Amino acid sequence: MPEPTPLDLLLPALAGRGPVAWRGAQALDGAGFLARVGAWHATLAQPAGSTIALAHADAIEFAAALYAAWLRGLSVLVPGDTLPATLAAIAGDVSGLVGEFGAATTQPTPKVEIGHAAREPAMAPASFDTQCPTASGIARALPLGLASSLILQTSGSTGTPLRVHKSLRQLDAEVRTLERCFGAALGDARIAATVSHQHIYGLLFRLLWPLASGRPFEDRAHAYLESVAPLLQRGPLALVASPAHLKRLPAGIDWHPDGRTLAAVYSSGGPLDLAAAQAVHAATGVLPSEIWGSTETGGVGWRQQHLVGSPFQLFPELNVAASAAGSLRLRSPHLADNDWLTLADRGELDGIGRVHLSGRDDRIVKIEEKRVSLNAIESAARGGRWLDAARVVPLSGERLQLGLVGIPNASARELLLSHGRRALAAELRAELVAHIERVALPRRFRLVGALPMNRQGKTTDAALAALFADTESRPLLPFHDWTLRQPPQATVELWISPDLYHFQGHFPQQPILPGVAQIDWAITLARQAFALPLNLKRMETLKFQALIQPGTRLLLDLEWRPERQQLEFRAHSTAGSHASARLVFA
Amino acid sequence: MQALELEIKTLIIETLGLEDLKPEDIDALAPLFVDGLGLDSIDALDLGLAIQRRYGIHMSADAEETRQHFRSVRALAALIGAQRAT
Repeated sequence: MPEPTPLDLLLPALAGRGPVAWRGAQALDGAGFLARVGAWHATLAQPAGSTIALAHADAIEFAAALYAAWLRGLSVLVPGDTLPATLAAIAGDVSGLVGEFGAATTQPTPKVEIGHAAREPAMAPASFDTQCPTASGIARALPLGLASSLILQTSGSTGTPLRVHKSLRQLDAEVRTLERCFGAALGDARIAATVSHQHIYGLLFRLLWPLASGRPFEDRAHAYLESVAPLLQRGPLALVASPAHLKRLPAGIDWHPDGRTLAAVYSSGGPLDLAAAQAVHAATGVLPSEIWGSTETGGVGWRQQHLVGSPFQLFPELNVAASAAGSLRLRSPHLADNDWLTLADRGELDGIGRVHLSGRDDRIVKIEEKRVSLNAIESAARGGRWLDAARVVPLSGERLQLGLVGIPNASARELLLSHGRRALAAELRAELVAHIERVALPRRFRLVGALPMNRQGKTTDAALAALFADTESRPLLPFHDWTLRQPPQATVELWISPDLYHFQGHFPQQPILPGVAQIDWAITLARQAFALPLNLKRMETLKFQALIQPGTRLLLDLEWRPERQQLEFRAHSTAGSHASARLVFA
Repeated sequence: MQALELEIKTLIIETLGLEDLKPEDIDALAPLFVDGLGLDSIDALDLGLAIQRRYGIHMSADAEETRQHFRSVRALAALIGAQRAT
């Protein structure tokens, strides 16, 4: 392949070019792409120097609108998502939302206007001819200033969204790096992707690099790999993917139709484990090239994982320095200046300048490649209608999930009594979905009267995670709050929700709390308050005086008499006494 | 058909580890993603794999067709039922 066309000189170079992109089975040539740039150019009325926000699910339209905005001298802010909270945060800083912003386009912000390039053939030719440049005019209206800028917005470590400016010079440096490292293997392959172009990796790999290097890209991202493999029959193909898809590689796909093979598989956004990399190799014949980088840093390095923990090779012309404590600093042509930037990644250098990564420094976690700030989720949860306090903890498993531990406020406790845990969890989710991408939403909830604390008064992640360690997917104890915990006495209040596990089938017509559950709770909770012996020997004076029905706020009085090894319990509510017993331990 | 729908609901709950949800809480006609059950794109992948393992059914190479099959429990049941019949 020849050198990629510099991004500022791209449009003139496209005029005579063949397929630039594919819409399904339909090719769009260079002139067709320039026409789309012209159409967007005509709709952008913001004064030069202002900033617009751009989002579009169609990568072709996105690219055309991006170039049109640059031609108009606009700065372009690309939000990583179009959640209402994201749009509210950018509304004051942009003079328009351009593209597809879903239902959120009706944000009641007076400054916001919706720009929508008319789709061919609905594009009005008259206005196109008179008010904006023709395709060939677009092609002549260049070069762009190298300072033309793009602003990427991602979630920052403090929970405040982070904006990263990328000049055309930086983006161009990235594209040249990629062509230098990977161009030879790609040939003129079509680029298929499973990732969004609204983030740096997709923006470079599936859009700017293909445009600059003359490889056709696609309008849409693939939701399933099943629709990628058949494209091999149409010609050379490369896949820009993420670990989310690669580690869920479906069996039984023919990755070698007519004896063809993918030209390359790229993975970025998060760690790809060795087993997944090897499985991709076995199925497709290609070992994925994993890209290390971030929105702030741009591309830093890459590796192919032959062994577990294979180190990353740095991209040419950049430097990484490691401190003894494992923090890393970077100097790179992909950065805005020549200063050292401290990275969120931790790691160490080997003798020949390769980097072994070993985790991250901040409270950002990646859930299926979505960067999510635990601080941001916690502050969104606390800022809502239901919780007095909230902590979020990553829970490992087949899929990394977030667990939210919250102290419900008075209205949440009411809701628990009347409608149950599931209703409250649904309310919490509904609040959070305005702030956090669905993939990264907490999927498990634990409600506590107080956060677990260690002797230093700290709430550790381990203690929080332990709240989720029960084998049952639903907690067996109802939400409860201690009102007294001073051995030998303790009182705990329990909110008896209608959706408690114990009411299931007991009984369908009239739910009644089984007596055995009351005894089990009394023992379980007493163990939290006192040092009880292991074995229950017998129960004495067991009485169930009144039924316990959903919606009851139950008080459990506990008293431990160590000298007699006896636990007294009494369950009561405003309705009177429900149950009491003396339990003898040994 | 109802038995198959129940089986699919159970598969969804088990595969995706949905807390607090019982099969009878899932409406067979409700959208699985976003508005209804609130599943996400990763759930779609995991569910696709689980259906492939359990029923030997592959997602279609046609993205729109796949989207239709994943519309609801009932649509999935129709897909699986049809494959079984052949």
